[in-house]
Amino acid sequence: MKPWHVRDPHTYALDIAEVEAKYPLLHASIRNDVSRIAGTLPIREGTAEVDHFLVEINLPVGYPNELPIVREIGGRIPHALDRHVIPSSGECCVLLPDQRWELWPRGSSLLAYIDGPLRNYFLGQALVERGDPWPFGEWAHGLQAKLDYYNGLLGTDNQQAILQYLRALEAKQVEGHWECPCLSGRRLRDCHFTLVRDLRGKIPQEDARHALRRFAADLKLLNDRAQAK
Amino acid sequence: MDTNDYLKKVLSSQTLADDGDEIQALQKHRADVEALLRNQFSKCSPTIRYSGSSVKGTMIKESYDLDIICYFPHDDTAAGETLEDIYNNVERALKTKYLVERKTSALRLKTDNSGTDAFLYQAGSDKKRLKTNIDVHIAHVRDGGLTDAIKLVKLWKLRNGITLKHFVLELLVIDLLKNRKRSSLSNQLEHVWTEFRDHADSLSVQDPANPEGNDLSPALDAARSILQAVARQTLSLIESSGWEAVFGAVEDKSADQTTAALRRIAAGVSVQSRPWCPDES
Repeated sequence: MKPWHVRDPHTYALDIAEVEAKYPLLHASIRNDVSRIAGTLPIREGTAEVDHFLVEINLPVGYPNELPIVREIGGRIPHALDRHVIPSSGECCVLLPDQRWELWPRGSSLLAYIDGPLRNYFLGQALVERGDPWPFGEWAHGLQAKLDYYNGLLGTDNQQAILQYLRALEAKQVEGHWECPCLSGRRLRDCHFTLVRDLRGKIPQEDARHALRRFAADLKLLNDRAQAK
Repeated sequence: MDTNDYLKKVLSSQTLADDGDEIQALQKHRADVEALLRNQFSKCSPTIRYSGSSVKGTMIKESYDLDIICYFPHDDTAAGETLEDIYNNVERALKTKYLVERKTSALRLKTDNSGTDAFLYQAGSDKKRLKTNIDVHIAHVRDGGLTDAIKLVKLWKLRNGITLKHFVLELLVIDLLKNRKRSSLSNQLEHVWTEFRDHADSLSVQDPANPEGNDLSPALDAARSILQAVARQTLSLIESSGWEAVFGAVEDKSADQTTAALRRIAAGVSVQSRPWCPDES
């Protein structure tokens, strides 16, 4: 696959221009086919800068289907899972990918990502550094975060039920006579039809497909580990 | 406040106090790394010295690190037979306690008989062996009379996310300002950025310790276009919005005021999001 700036140079140029206009100390460059936006991300109150972080945002080849890869490059945030930075790579875990449809829906601009989840992440880091808790809470690590998230969304943290729900969300269409994904054994039309219909109206199939693939991979890893033990 | 007073304030805000927490933490790290190296290579008695911005007088608060030089005696092979062996053995030793990232020549190795001349092992380079002299580097930067300008250009580089070795940038600034040492800081900076903007393609640097043998042009070549673009934008920002658009405000806000402002920003966020982390185990 060709990188985004090659596949869609027009949108790329517009998105970058929008970012550089709002954040004059963020600059885009392309090296080895990777688009990199780096520099200062200010945290502003009105127009006044309250704090700032030095950041690097790399757009992977699969962007915008894939999330940007963000690193804090000023050496200010410890590379630790508790600070939501992957120790081995320094990547910032800005958001739970399964929640993307709510926070940065497909088709949104790069500026929307920077002004939304990314700003929230660094605002949180600035507060945590000063001894405050994460202002909007934090997800648990790994699979547990997804179970918590889907429990809030679907009302269950049963792994098989979540898998079934994701299948129903990524399907081209659902039928009322299907078995309900909640594993009750009842027909969908007699059980969680409204929930599934509402979520299908909100979550794009593409997002559900990615979430299903990731969730299935997580469960496989969990099973492999259990068997290895 | 005139521009040069403002720039002095920026410099002051970037200065690390000798007895401050940051310097003390750095000294503790230094002692730990040195003890680890001495312990792991006790048979060959390495000479350990400090380099980088702290001894050159160009350290800034925005981003600083620890540069340790570990010289191994020329006539002792206990640390490894070849430069590459030594590089790998030092990496292995450091990995027992730290996450180690292999840099092109991050591990400085093996002295020859000429005092402080040293050979670097260059990982991932065609020319694996490179002669240099750290003392010459340090003196060139520290005693060049341009450390304030260097610190500000370094801060500019960091704030704008420019990927270029500090060492190469220092050499560029020293070369561009060699006849402007008595100019004001603002004039010096504007001259550097004007040169970056107008003559990016012809900029060149030489390693003062090895002008013929250490070709620094690949490092500079990779950064020419971004240096030019950011310098152009910086000069334009100064003209349209003033110097604070480049280095930010230098007002003295208390930590409590900053925290309160951050909390107010958080309270006004409409779409809230939480950080996550994959399971790395």
